[in-house]
Amino acid sequence: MSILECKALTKRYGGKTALDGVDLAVEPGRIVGLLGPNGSGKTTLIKLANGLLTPTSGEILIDGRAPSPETKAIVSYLPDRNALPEWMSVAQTVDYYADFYADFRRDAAQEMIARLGLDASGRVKALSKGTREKLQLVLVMSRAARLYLLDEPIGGVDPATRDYILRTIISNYNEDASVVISTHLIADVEQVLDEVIFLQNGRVERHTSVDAIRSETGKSVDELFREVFKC
Amino acid sequence: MEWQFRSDSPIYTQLTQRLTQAIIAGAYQPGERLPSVRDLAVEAGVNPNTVQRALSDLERDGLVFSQRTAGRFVTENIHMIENAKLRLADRCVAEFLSEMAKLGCGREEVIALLQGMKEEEK
Amino acid sequence: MLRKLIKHEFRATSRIMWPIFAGMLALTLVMRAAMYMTNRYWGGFDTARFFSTLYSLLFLAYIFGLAALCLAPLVLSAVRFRNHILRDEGYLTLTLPVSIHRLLLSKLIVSAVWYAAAFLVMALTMLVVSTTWSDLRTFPALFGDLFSAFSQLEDSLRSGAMLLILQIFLACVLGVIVSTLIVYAAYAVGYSFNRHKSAITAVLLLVFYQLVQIAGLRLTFDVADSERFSQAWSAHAAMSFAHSFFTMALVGELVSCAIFYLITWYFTTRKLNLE
Repeated sequence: MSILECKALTKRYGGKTALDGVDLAVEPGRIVGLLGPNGSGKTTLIKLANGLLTPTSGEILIDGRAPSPETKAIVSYLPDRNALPEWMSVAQTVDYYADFYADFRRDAAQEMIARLGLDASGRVKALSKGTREKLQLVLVMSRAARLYLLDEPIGGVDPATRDYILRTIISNYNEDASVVISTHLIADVEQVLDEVIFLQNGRVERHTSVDAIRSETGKSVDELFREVFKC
Repeated sequence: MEWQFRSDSPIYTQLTQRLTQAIIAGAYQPGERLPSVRDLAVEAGVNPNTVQRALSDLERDGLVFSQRTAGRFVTENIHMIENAKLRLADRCVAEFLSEMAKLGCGREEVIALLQGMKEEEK
Repeated sequence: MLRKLIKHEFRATSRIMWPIFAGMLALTLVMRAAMYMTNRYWGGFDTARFFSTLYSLLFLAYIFGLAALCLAPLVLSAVRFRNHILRDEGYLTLTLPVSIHRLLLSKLIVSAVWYAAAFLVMALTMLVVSTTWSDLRTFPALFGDLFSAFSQLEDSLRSGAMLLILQIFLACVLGVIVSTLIVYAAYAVGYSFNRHKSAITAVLLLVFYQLVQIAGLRLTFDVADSERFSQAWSAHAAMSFAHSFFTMALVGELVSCAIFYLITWYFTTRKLNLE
């Protein structure tokens, strides 16, 4: 069964259509790039999968079920902003995840936090923006989830941090799990992707494997993307 | 550091080539255990499925064999490695010759150039 | 999961509440000390005057402190609801594998506990302010008298005074929950808008409280009418009025709870609008 499936998924805000009849399926064990320019519906799709929004029509299913506390237990979500409470200490954020998520690997989290050189008793408030993002990623990737939904994990970071982030994703995700990475910076993530989904104006423009793009067109996904979304 | 890949062919074929070179050059010795898929993926900065696919290709070519629990090992059959080296060398030479042909250099001329280079080195 | 939610809710709120309690108790003790000093004279310097001025200032601070103590649980649960659910932290809170019902329930329970704690602290400070050591020794006897008076009243009137006390207690608890839910509902609706979130929330707060107040007054008059006050005033009539009034009040509070809970639930699930 698909781990993530959308059927004629539509979301409108007021008069604006953010997603327009999206049909797609993501199979287990895949790393999928959710690509598209800003405002193409990437974040809306991820929020719908997390139950932070409800569909206007159509449905979105996680492991065959509509978003609910049960699906949230198997989805690990990295929002596109810092959601960690600022007043907590680093150790308290670990406790928080460990308490609520049965699949949280405390050892893995603590090891990665130690490698980042973070003081466990330090407050989240005192961390720089970049360090907060890394801490949040560490917590998200420390879960042995079935589906990881990562919203813009590499937006606006330097190349060294980008490498750190991609490595953290690759070395931690469960091999039967799927990872969906939304981004508009394709060249940076291309190497780690199995498949790509191009979103444009709330529709799926293309959903294909990276190998297929390269062997059929002789172009990288980034080059193809620039052609498809040429303004 | 992350390995660089060209954009005109699938990453797994480039990875297969890269690993073949490493085996021929002795970076991975005959009989040596290869790093795990996950470790290779992290080292190359690519998807584990891609590494899996490249390793399967190497297995098909006979350069690598897997033992169910212990992991993947480089073949101990030196001939296999020698053959792979010759195949790759052939391909490099063919590519080189076709590039030279674009410059209008015939075979004789190429050989002369190579010999001239050899003498310069002395 | 409810237990864990409550644990983390306490962790988040106690870092605000404990210092408030500690501060209030410290203020009370200092004020008490100043009060004590005003009755003492030391030669050469007008200490009495100094201490009585200090005492007046401290007393003023104490009055403000009491007001703050009353408001603190409500303000805290409002701020906490906004930060924990409707702002950036909401991305984490609302993707925890728990239902929104449990989440709201945990918040209401913790908020009720803080109200009770604030009430106890307030009672404690008043005790510290108003009593001396000799007063304190008469307390057991005082409570004994109160209890026997109460049971005599109960016996002679068969009035269900015990029931009334229970009713009053429940009415207070539900009242606290209603006021918390009104705040939640106002925030949940206000933050579903794209702009002017805070302003809309403030207006809704006033409107909701006003509506509940009007409904409450209406209810009081209805009860008063139905009790036919033309009858001669008697202890029995007063008791009967009190029983009907608090029964109606409890029903009214339960209905308000349900309404504001549903509004909160609907707007934090279906109309959620995180930035």
